[in-house]
Amino acid sequence: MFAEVDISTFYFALSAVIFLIGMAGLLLRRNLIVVFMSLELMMNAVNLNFIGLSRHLDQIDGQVFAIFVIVVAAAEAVTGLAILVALYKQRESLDIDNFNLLKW
Amino acid sequence: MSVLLAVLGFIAIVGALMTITSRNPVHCALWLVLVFIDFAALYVIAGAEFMAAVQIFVYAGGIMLLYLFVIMFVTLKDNLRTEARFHRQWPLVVVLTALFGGVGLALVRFGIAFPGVKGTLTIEAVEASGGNTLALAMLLFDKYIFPFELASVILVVAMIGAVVLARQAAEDVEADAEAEAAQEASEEEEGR
Repeated sequence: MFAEVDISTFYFALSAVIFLIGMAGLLLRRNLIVVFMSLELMMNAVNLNFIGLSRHLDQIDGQVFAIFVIVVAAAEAVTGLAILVALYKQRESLDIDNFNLLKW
Repeated sequence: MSVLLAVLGFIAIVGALMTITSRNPVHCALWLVLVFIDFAALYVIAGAEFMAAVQIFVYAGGIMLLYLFVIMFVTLKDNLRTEARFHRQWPLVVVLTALFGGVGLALVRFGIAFPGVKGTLTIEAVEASGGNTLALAMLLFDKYIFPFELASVILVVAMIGAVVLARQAAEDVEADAEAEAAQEASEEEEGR
């Protein structure tokens, strides 16, 4: 079964699976740091899809988009982790169930 | 080639699953580094050597180092292991995963005509014209020069935001320490 799958389909399928695993982690985990890591996993799945498509379509543009995704991921990690440290100073906890001030 | 791809795909899936299920955040970070390095190998196979190098330097080197530093700062009280890992949203996750996974599997299995025009830059053509890095630079600094400049603005804004947030947190801690010191001093005065 595996031999007849071409490389492009493999890249798309793998990136879909990793994206779903990242989404499950994002929704399930309580530790805020691990939630951020799941987000990184999802962004990497998107990057893999961009690069697989870049190879599939014989264009380099997908790799340029992947660079911009990495830029945004770096900016997200820096600001997100700074907010996380500030939150920890406030609450002495990283359990996202404790951050329920805006809960209805 | 397909055996290599199967092994890399297996490592990626196992690493991703361990990332979202490990109890200790440090273990999560290390499994995530494994996934990143595995992805870099996949980028090389897809003919994107420059992106593979960027993946190792920026992701495995830079961003994960930041995560590990934050874990070191934040989990001093050893409250990592006792917390429950998951909250009670299994049904939502199962439904969403089945939905997205079903759609994705259908797309891959039955095949769609992926939209987009076939370009001329096959891996062989890129190699012949001076390599992946050169081809990428020609595109990045020509067609995508404006988004490139915009990316630098995003990075500067993120850096300033992080510095401001971290300074506020540090000032709060200093204020707390000063208040504590003042209280201790006044208690000592009373003791006398």
